[in-house]
Amino acid sequence: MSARDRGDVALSMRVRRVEIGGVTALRDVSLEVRRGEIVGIAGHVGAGKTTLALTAAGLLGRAVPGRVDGEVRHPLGGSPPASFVFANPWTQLTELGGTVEEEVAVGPENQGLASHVIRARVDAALAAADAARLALRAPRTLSGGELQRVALASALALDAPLMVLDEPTAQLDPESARDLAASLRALATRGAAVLLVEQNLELLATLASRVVVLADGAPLAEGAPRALLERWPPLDPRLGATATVEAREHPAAPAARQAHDPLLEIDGLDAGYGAHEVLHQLSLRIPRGTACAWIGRNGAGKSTLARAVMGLVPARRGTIRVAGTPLDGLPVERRARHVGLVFQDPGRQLFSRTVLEEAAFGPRALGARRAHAEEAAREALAVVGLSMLERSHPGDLAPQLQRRLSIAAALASRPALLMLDEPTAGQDAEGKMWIARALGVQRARGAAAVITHDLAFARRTCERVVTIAHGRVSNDGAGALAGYLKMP
Amino acid sequence: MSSPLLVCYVAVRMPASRPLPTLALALVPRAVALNLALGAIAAALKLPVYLDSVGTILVAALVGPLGGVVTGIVSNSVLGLLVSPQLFAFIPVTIVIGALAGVAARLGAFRSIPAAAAAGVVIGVAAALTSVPIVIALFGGVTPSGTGVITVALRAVLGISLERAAEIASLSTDVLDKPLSCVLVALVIARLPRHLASRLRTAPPVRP
Amino acid sequence: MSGALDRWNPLTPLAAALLLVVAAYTGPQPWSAVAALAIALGVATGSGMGRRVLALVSAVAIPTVLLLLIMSATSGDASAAGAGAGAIAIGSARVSRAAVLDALGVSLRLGAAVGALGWIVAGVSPRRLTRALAERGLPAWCAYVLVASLEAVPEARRRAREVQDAQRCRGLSTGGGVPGRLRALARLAGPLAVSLVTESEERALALDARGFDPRRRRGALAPIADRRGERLARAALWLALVALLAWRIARALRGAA
Repeated sequence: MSARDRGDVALSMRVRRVEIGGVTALRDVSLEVRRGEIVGIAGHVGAGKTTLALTAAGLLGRAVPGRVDGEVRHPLGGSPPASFVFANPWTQLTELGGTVEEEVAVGPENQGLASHVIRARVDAALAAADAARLALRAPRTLSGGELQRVALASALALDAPLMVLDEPTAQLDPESARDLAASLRALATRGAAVLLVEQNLELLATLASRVVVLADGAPLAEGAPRALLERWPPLDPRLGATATVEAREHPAAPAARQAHDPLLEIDGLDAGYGAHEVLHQLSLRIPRGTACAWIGRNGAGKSTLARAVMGLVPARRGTIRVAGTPLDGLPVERRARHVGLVFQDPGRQLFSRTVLEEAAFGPRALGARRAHAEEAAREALAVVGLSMLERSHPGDLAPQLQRRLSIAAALASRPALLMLDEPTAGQDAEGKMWIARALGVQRARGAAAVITHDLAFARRTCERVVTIAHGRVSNDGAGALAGYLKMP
Repeated sequence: MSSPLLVCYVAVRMPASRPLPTLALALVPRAVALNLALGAIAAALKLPVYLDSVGTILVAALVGPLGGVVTGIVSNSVLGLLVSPQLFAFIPVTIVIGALAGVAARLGAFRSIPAAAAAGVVIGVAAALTSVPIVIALFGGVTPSGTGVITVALRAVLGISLERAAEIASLSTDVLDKPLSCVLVALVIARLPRHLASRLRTAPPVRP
Repeated sequence: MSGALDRWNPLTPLAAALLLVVAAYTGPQPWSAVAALAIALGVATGSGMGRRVLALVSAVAIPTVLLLLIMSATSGDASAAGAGAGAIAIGSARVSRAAVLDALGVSLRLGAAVGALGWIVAGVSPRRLTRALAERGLPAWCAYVLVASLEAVPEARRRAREVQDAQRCRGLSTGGGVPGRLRALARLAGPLAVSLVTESEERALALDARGFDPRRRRGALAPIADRRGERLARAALWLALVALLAWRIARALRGAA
């Protein structure tokens, strides 16, 4: 290594062990990140990626207590030496700023800089993160994709030599993820040193010069991302770029029967919030024995449709029938016997001491006896691969596992129709495989609807794809996916 | 009035010597928001309680009396700024709730439901007795609320003194509200991710 | 968020409001209270927030005076005070003149205080107020808990609705008897509380990542202007406030002696 090269090192870590709460979360990692390069970290859920990211940024030992046995150096100095972008676009706001530019200014303000220096930093950071047009917006009015740009700008404004990002695209739609990746590439070209934790190996391959793959808290492989992808496609069985288990292990009903046996029938549905009508004259059928993907842009009305079927949004006109039963006029808790809806954020419902109790809550609320409810819960937990965690505390599960738990909790009530809102967001390949399995089981019991931006998942697991645009079904059937991909 | 003022002084001075860790600091705004959001849930369930100090008691139980006091002060300041300034006047009551809940937590009150309910009774009585002098000094004994109406009715029916009537009216709401709040807090603590509860208690100060 | 009083440093209306509150309660009654209320409403109207401040004042002052009058009419105070020459009839009940004056006094003072502080509620953005206080030495952690709380409230209210939605989708009934509703309360309040506490960890990490130090003096992107004239005027307001308090305390001590 030449002298010039050495002067470029922004992170040099040699860590034997990192302990969090008495548990070894990471061991035997050596890593160096230089200016102008993006180093990727990949690995399954619970592999130690976040621990590695926090350790590299020097953030362990504060809000998250941890013990690092080894050496983490930031030869380029800086105060702080590293900036950080988290996965969740919403919770990484400091809330100290009423506007985006105030939020971005929080870092430089914490550094006690003079006003004109802060202003210059903020403007430069907003421009570099392609967020200048958001400067005067209130953060809480922004989308996830926009907020991640704000987070990127906030990190840049600190002017730290190293930037660490922990799955920054995990909760974004594919388009926002691509845009963020482009910004990162531009930053590295201009000389930033970037450590990027990312589950999507394909995305990493277009960005990173080197990738370290973690498995169970230790490095499993290291090298150029293309080489890793080619040489060893499913690097770890749980990390494979393509899930090997097909969702259709439960065969769909014969096509002839399907057409005459619709499980969900919606006719001429108008629904919305207050004066704002979102769905206009929407009609849709989902045949028994099928899984149907609902795709479309943000704000097209997909979630409103699911909420209208569930009864959370009142229908102004039109009818909704599930398995022949008209739902119109039934309150939400009565519809729960026929329909289930799994929301994006499982944190909105978890409140049990054990995973089993959580999964049994639905059947219990619907009047099942404890033994029956627990039997249904066990069965549902097995479907999503959580049987071994039955006695665990729901709050101690990783968010990805909590999502699978919320799906199991809905399955346990055995609704004829199960609707899932963005079930694969933030999931790795293994998680997607289990969710595909849940869809397979649900299909055999009735039908499923999946709201998703994950077109690859939709193609693999759903026999029907419906595009929703401007509150209507704009394209129903095989052509929908192709049409969506061509949308501007 | 002097004891809440003293607690207030201690609460403001103490962080200079021993700061709240960032984890506890970040918890306070969410607890304040919980205080302000739970009323809607209680109303949706048609339960005659406010639940407006669950967040204060929760922070007191997790972080200690100082955290509870800070949450209480901020909570009523925010209410005063967002809803109506007269609510600033009840800051001393929230201080008493936060401080007592913190002490109760040190005695292990939130480890079981009956203990939490008992602590809630004590906190409710203390809160009611703190609010009565404020209500009498600033509102002439009746706040424009359900409590005020009860006070008026008690005097009309029983013919008791204003002080006694205001006390009974205050007690009648607080002695239902605070035990329920404390039981909720005990349930929540039992269901928190285990790593978090221990972290909140043991997190090191930001600057050692 | 912009306020009607944004051309002032937020500490100036704050000092003026506090002076009015103290004056309303310590000055000679009832004229101090009447004057304070008139000033509070006058300034509010002049700054274009008259309607909002009047609403705040009426919401507390009118029910209070009514409740107090009903109480004296129904509690037997009137007869105890002797329904003498000054008694006033309200329907079949009689209220002594002293009780009426008392009730009016209480609600006037209350109205004046709420009206003066109403300037802050209606005309000053809490964020600007906190900034101004931070520039005067309010510790960073105090400013944080205040501002972040204001930001967290609408989010928590939204989440409370989401929790209700999610739980009803699982069949949770929100009606029925009291035991059932209490159980439902745990299922609705619980996840809200747990998710808010859990989220604090990410929020704390985000604060750490941006180098937040609870006790360090922070810089400011846009410091709040504080003109010399305004500073002098504010000093005068604080001085008057202290003088008023001192006078009142001295009088109380003399009275006690």
